[in-house]
Parts: sequence; structure tokens; C-alpha cells
Amino acid sequence: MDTAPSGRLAGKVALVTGAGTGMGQACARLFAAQGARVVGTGRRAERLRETGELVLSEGHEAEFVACDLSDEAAARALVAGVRTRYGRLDVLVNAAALGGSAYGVLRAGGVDDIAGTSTDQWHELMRNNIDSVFYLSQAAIEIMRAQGGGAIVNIGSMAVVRGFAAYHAYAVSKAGIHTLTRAMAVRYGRDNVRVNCIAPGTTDTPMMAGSASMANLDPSNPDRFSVNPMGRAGTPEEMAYSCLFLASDEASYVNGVVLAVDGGALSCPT
Amino acid sequence: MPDMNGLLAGRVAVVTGAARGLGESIARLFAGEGARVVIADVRADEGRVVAAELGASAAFVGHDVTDEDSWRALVDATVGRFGPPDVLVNNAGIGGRTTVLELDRAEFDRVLAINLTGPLLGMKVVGAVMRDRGRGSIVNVSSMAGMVGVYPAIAYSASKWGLRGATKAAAIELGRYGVRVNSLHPGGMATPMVDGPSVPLREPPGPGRPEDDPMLSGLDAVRSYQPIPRIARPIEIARTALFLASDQSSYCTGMELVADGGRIAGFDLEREPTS
Repeated sequence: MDTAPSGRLAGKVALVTGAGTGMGQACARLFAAQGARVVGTGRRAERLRETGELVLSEGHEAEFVACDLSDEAAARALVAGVRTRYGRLDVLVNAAALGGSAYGVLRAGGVDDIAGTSTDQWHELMRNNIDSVFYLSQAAIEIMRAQGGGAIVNIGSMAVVRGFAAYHAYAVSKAGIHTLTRAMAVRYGRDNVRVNCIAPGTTDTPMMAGSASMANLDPSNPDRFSVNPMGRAGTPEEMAYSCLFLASDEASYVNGVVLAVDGGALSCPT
Repeated sequence: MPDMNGLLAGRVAVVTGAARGLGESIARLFAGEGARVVIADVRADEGRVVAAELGASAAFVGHDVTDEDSWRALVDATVGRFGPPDVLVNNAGIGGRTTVLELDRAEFDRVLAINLTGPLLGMKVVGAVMRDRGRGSIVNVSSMAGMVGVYPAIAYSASKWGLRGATKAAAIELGRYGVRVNSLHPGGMATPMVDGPSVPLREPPGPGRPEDDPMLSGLDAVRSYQPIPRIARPIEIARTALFLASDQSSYCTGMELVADGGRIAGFDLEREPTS
């Protein structure tokens, strides 16, 4: 009986953060379906269990480990654990992030601006969105270089390319991801470690629920095409397919890019 | 959801400049992913050979990208043979070495006509068919020279930046009809345009392994300073075109996909090249 794994990530070990929800969850499901051995992680064990049930119901398997990735020791131990259990790490997807919902109090008041952001909130966002990517990427690159290669896919944001007044701190954290992506790509491409990121536009995830961006793209808004040529929000699955492409050997000559997956929003004048 | 077993299963693709080089690689890859492919090119002899090798899933059509009537004839031939096109790859293009201070006006006009006006006519004629059907994906093959300046190639750079800009404006115009338009920006690639050998399906050597074809290894050596320290094999760039052509990129439009091994991503001044 032929038991060789098939799929576009066949035989690869992939660590996916933020796997309990949104894009991370979509990546975990798609990567497992494409033959990868997936380790999904995130802060909330209950959400990870839900993803695990989805993966199982689709006929695949994956492992899920709850972890606070802003905790440096925990983040590094997580990566070391993947190597111990699977012997390698081929793909890292940094999808975990706090978004607008981290500003619950501010949003409830309708104000999500620089003047209303507390220092604690600022630091919490940077710890979760960019410090964690530094810890995980550093640990992953050490393994990838030693084994002869690998691919890192980061989730950036269109809010890095254009200024979004309500997403100042979020955008700064994501700008760090774009910058780190390029620097790592330029340094480690020679070791066959490719590093790329996607810049999602408005995506129908829990993070974006109730946002002005989603409201703008509602089918009831006749002007939605003026800000988004496709006139709709993206889906987590669409983001996952872009991540799959960048993670797979099909992108063997793609390194250090920011791939806009935004329905064309960045092509438009604001 | 894309059919991951054949990313272009049941689709009809038109690829210009498909008689050789990157276009040939794209045509062969797309056919392998289930597409029926029209190989459009001014080079009839080579184009017919490629089409014959691909068998029933490919057809050659003689085509001049600078002629709007030729585009109409191409669409008619495509519809007659395989049905309306789902994918257009505007791949045909030429190089050129003219500079701003020694501008060869004839060369400039010719490069712009083939590299920019040609794809525009394609978007006009094929885009109209796609609009009427409410779906389609157009891949405009620009260049690294559409992201940065390249010397000495003022006409080439201008044409490839022009195509990048036209891609975005067309994406806005066609998005509401379900037609996506994206640009592809390859770096150095082993094709006849850079005096490379014809290797449409050849894979790169594994990391750290030597290239046994002396012509390719010479081209690799010139690129040893890059983050990925070698020239691209055409199949690697063809795979990025496949991503843009297929439903894998269903939320991508108006964007640029750079495939240059990391060359324009930045600088690493501390690290020595390994070869």
C-alpha cells in the first residue's frame, strides 16, 4: 500500500501560530490537507481544540499546543519541542496577532486613535505582534539553516503600506513584520531559508468583525468598488492559499516579498 | 476552492510569447495543470513544435501583440478551438539596451509597442470576453525592471513600469466583473533573452549542489551575490504565474509578485558570497 504523503507540502513539518482562529486556523487546515505535519499554536486552548476538530473532520491530523508567544521562554521552548518531536521544522507561519479587538474599551467609545492609546496597550500589542515573531523566527531559522532550508511566511498588513488612522499601533507592529521579513530574507536566502510575508486587506475574520472596513465592503454599499476593486472582503481561506504558495517549493525563487492579498485595495487612491 | 490536483483543470489559457523561454515554460506547466493552452507567438516554427509536443491540450496561433486585429483573430481562434479564455498571460516581450543620453528612438518605440501597448491591447480584447463571462485572470509579465531602474535599458524599464501601472488601473476597472489583473516581476532568468539555453522544465540544482550544465552554471555565477545566489530556472517563474492564473490567488488583484531570489529586498553588506 502506498502511504507516501501527497500534497503541496508533503513531508514538511509546519508550525502555525494563531491557529485557533482566522487566518492561522485556515492555514492549519489547508496545510494539513496538503500533506504537512502541522503543529498549531495560540493562546487559547479552547480555540485550538476547535481547529483540531475541524482538521480531524476533514480527514487529517495535526497537533495543537497552547502557548503565550509573547513569553520568550515559552516561545523558544515551543520551537525546540517541534524539533524534538518531528526532527525538523520546514515551515513557520507567524499568523498570531492582536488586532483592533485588543482595544475593546477604546472601540466601545468609538475612539481608536493615538491620543486614546495607553502605554500599556501599546506595549501589549508590540509584545504579542512583533516580539513573538522575533523569538519564533530566530529559533526556527537556527533549525532551518542546520537542516538545509525552510520557509517562513509572515502575516503583515495593508495598513503598513497606507496609513490607517484607527490602526496606528497595529500598523507599527505589522511594519516591524514587513521589515523583519526583508532583513531575514536578505540574510538567510543564501542558506536556502526563504522569508516572505503577505499583506492581507480586509478579511472576514473575528479580528475584523464589526470594523468600519467590513462595513465599507458590505454588499449594500454601492460605493464599495471605489475602495476595493473586487468589492468584497477576503476570506481566511484565500489568505491561506497565498501562505501555502509562499511556504511551498513552488515559490522557490520568491524571497523577501510582501504579497498584497487585498482585492486590489492598494491599487486604488484612498 | 482551487482544485489542488490540477490548478487549471478545465481552464483555457492564452500565453503570448510561448514559443520559447518563459512563455514556453508557462505553457508546458499550465498544460500539466489541466489547462488547454493557446501558444501565441510570432515565431511559428518553434511555437508549432511546442504545441505538437503538448498534443490535444495545446494549439499554436501566429500572433503579433502590437496588432489589435491580430488579438481579435487570436480570441476567435481560441474560442473556436477550446472555448473562451479564462487566463491571459501577457508574456511576450523584448529587451533592448538604449540609454537616456543616447536614446535610440526607434528602439524605444519598438520596445514600448511590444512590451506595453501589446499587453494593453490584450487586456482590451481578451478582457472584454472575460468581463462578459464574469471571470478571468490576467497575468502581466513585467520585470524586476518594473520595480527598480535598470541600466542600460531605459526603454525596457519604462515599458515594464508602465505595465505595472497599467495593471493596477486595469484591476480597478475589471475587478467588479470578476476579472483579476496582476503583474509578475521576475529577476534574472535563464532564457534566450539573456542568452541562456532553452530549459523550459529544468529544475534548479538542490541547495549547495553544483549545476552540471556549464551554460547555466555560468549564469548562476553572475548572480552569486544575490540572497538566493543563482539565476532562476524558467519553471520557477512559471510556477509564480500559475499562482496568479489559478484560483489560489482569488483575492489578489492589482498587485505585484516579485520573483527575484530576494535581490531587490535589500542589502547584506557583511556577508560574503559563497561562490
